[in-house]
Amino acid sequence: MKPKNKFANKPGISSSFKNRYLLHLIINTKKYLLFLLILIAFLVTAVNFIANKPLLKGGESYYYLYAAEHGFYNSLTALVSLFSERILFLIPPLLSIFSLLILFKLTEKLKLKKEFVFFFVLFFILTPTFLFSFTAFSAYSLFFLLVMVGFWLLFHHQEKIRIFSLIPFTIATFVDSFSTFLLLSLQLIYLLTKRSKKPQTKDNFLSLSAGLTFFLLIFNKFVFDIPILIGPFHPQKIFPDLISDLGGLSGISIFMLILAVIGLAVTWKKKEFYTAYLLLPVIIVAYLFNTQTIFYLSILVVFFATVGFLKLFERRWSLVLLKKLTFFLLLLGIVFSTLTYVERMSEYLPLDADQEALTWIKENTPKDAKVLSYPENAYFIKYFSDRAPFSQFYSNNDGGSGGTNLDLNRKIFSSVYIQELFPLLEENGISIIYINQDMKDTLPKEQGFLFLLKNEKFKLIHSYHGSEVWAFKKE
Amino acid sequence: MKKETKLLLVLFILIAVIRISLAFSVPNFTYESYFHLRQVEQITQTGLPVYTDSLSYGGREHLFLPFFHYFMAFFNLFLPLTVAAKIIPNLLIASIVIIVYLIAKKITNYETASLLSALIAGFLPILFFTNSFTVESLFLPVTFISIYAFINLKETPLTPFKTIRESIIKRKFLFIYIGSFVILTLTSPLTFLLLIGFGIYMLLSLLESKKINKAELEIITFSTFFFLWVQLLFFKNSLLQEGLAFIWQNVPTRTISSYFPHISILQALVLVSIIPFVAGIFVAYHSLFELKNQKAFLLISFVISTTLLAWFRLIRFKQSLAFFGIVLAILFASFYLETDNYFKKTKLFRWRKYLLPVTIILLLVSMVIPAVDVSFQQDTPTKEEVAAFRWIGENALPNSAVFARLEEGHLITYYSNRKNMMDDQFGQINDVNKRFNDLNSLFTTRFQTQALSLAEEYDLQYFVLTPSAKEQYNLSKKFNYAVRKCFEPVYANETQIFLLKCEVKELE
Repeated sequence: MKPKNKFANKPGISSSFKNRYLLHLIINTKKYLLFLLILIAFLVTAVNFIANKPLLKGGESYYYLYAAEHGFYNSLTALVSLFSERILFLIPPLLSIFSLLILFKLTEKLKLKKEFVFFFVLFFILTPTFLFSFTAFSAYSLFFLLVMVGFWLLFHHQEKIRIFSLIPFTIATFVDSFSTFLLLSLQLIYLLTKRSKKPQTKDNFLSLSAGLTFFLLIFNKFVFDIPILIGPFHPQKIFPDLISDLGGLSGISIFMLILAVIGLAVTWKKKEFYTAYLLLPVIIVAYLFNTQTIFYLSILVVFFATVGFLKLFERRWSLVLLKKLTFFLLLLGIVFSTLTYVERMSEYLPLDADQEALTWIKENTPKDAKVLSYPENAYFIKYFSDRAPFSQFYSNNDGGSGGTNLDLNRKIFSSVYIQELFPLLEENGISIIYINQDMKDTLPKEQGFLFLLKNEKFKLIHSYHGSEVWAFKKE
Repeated sequence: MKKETKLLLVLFILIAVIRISLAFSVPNFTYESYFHLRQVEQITQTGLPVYTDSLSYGGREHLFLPFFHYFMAFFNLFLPLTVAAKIIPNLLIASIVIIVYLIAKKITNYETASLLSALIAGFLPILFFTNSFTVESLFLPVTFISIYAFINLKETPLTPFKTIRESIIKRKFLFIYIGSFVILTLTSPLTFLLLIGFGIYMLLSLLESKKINKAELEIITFSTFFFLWVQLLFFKNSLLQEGLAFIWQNVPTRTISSYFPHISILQALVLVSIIPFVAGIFVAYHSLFELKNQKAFLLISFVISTTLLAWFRLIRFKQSLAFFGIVLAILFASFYLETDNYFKKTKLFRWRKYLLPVTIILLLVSMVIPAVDVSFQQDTPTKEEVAAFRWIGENALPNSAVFARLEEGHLITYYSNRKNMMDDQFGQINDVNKRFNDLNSLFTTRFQTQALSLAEEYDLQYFVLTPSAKEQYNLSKKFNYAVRKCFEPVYANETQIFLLKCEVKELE
């Protein structure tokens, strides 16, 4: 006689999950996934700490750090300015952990299937976009948290507590107009769903909440000139930014993307997924316009991937051996993708060499010096050197003086002759050039900009582990 | 033994004998084969392929799937490599005859038509590169084995089995599919052709409201994830470094058109032969728009996927034509079956007895001559050229680097055991375009200073000028800049080898 499975009849778990170990994990989702999250966050931070690399990564982090120091406030800069510089690196992982806890609370309120919650959260934790947010300040991950807190409060049965949902919702509207629009869409979808279920009930508070969001969408745009979309903070590449396995800054695993396509295909035209279908084209268009919105796209992809994964394994397979093999392969593939990403996370900028060389610029160059480098280095230059970068990708409302100058910057770095390079540098008041290892690897060596640095008008004034500071002597 | 089986065996043996005879009548292998020969030799000696190569490009990392090389290394244990490399790939390609017969029979259930398909597959001119020792010789037959297993998957029973033996026997096509797919995935990234074909097959079935077999869906899901996982394991670094450009294998811009040319209908007609081509197009049209036969859908899906991928320059011209040609050979069985039925039902009935002999004669006439011609026209180094590269191996300074044509790069590493400037393994080479331009400059420049500074940059000591190089670069006798004082002739036959004696220095 087979031993009875003690989880066999647990409520909220599909009968297709018969494996006792998997069932155990699903029952104890909160415990295990929280442990996994803390473990990954600790590992990622520890690797950078041991290698003596800056613990915060990515241009966006330094954009907010600089903005917080210089008195410009949006939701994230306000949060950043509250903490001492030494413990700032703790904020991203703490935000992630807090997001996860709220997500669990929210899924309890929504009475989602336990296995759905388990795999959704597991896939989300293993997604490079979420992993990257362990080491970087991201306005969109903060927005995600605020919206979840807002809805969690909104779902509360006590009217007095529901009012508090207006606070996170209001703060969330300061991120950017697109995010506010998404929040408004979610509120309206919730309102309409509620009304379609119980047409006679009126939820004045929910209508008020949606009305306030709409007002803030307009008000913030016209009064505070809130950007439509934040970023980008790095050169945009549609496919690598989407699929992490192609070398993007964050993104989604290719396995997750295929699962999401399966999820979309199997749920096509199913009523309960209309909300997700509505948001998908909006978010895809936003992504094509600005890949910074990968965070939102990742959430949707993970959602559909979870649906696809569950549909795939809940159905009765005619080839059971293949079912086991495919399940194993999928998990291996997702874990492999994640590990590959974690492995290269420590190589993301800024590195210790960037920090050292840029700090040297701060201490040894005139305050009005304009620094030429790749636009993605602009935020490190601003924060570590406190100097104006010549070019940057995104500069809306950050109080900085560096314009965008992307075309000019490209022109300078693709110069082949000094006759074309020198006037460009002189006309634009560039006196300092910052070259890091990443630039040396991508710029041609035998001709072009790096070759022209051999001219006597350029002087190498500082060098540290591959990062170089050059001075340009004007006529 | 059934008559058809005997005929099939005779056909297989005949084609194998013709292929092997042709292979031995041409003295060497095609240029690209030498890369694979070197890998197999290395596996036989050390058990591992040359992933860290100190000779290619003066030192680089290789990334490739190694199954074919291990497979061949097994035969190298009891056969000399040059013999095994001529026999085994030709036997493998000849085995396509049997696989094509089985698939065609499954689709038409007509032995005569299936034998004709096998005949076409056996004499496809595009497959008559008898001296080509490449991954495709294993990839092509195994691909069609997996297609055959896939077609038969429907017959896999769902009921539980009483014994393991019964389970294995009744699920043999599942095991054959899994086995062949695993081999394919570890042999060539070209396996994605199969997956794209499956995708188009599902799409076509959906459009025609045909129900897709549950087992087929499951096997496609498994195959997709397995393929992706293996490719990520092997090509992780290349993907991260090159991103989507990885698909184009980092081929230099100026040579990309010779690797991924746009399909010329005329060339395609010659290489896959006119009769199967026309018949295939007819069957594809007829099956898709009139019969809506699901069995043919799968094969047509492969035709569509191959054409699309070749059109978008995602697979090489020769590879796509080979795949395309075999599928057309299979589809010919349906064409013959329909023609035969037409003869039966119409006034042409009395002419029916001539249909088979006329078809055989037409096929043989239109295919055998081009096939043998392709074999004799293969781009291989001459005996004399090989002797020159062997001479370098025996006489040149150790650790020296040798300059020769791009195509001859593998001859330098294989026969001379010296560093080359460039070969056709472009993956993960950073400055591939610059290198390619420099290589061409070294053949075409008239300036000694330019040649010397390039020689210094790539640390080249020996310069090889083969008759093929003279022809390609239109050089009459020697390099335009090769004066005796700086370029000492150390080997002077039809192929000339020069030792570099000078260097460029700044004046004091």
